[in-house]
Amino acid sequence: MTETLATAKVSHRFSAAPERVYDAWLDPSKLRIWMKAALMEMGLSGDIRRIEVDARVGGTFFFSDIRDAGEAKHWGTYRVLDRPRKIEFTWIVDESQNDEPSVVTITIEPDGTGSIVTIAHEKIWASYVERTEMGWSRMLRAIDAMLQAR
Amino acid sequence: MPTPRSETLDHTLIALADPTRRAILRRLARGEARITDLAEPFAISFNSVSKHIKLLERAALIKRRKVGREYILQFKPKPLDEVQAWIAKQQAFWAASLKAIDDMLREEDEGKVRK
Repeated sequence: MTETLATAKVSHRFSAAPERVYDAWLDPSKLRIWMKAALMEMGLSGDIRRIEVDARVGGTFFFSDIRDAGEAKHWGTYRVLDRPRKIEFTWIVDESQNDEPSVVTITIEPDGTGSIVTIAHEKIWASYVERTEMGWSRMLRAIDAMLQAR
Repeated sequence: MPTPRSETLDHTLIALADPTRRAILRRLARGEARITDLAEPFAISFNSVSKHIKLLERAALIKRRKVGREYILQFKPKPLDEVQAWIAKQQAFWAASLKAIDDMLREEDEGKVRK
């Protein structure tokens, strides 16, 4: 089986048990603590505006934080909630992605008394290629127009 | 005014400027394929597919490897810097998230010990 292209994948070992890591993703008060720290680690303000979680399959979440360019919004729908093994949700940062969102899968495996967590964030490639095509054809049209104007 | 990079850019541009080549890329983005597999859905000759593949290879968007008597083609996304940048950015964010969760859970544990 070939690996899906455009997948961002990271993993980390926790000394905490799978249940605690799992709950950190769905409990709004815990989300607020770690997301603020993660955003600050990324060099952002970590000024969280909204955290809303409807933790059931088909339920949605919404996170936003304040950045230089304004309020950065992230939202999506939970597709798999299998405590404490797996969480899968769509991850959208822009209205234009609503139809073909990226998908985040969090896999939590027990490891002794701790756990190993893997996050795979897949971008739907076809839509990217489509957009790239549009970008390129726009650019080619622009070049064409420029050459004709001379 | 050619710069060292402009040739690479030209190759990428030329490779992406044709609908058949874009369709080949889309197909390969779903998984590896043999050259013979590609000719069929596009209703074009093996020779014609070969020409398209050469241009895609020149742009380093695909790579071939020989398995037995067949060539297997693989999509190489590297020239598409935008995608690379996206992956790097997401990885950094999720890695920072996992570290932050770890820190939070450790602090919870320390809090418990103190109590």
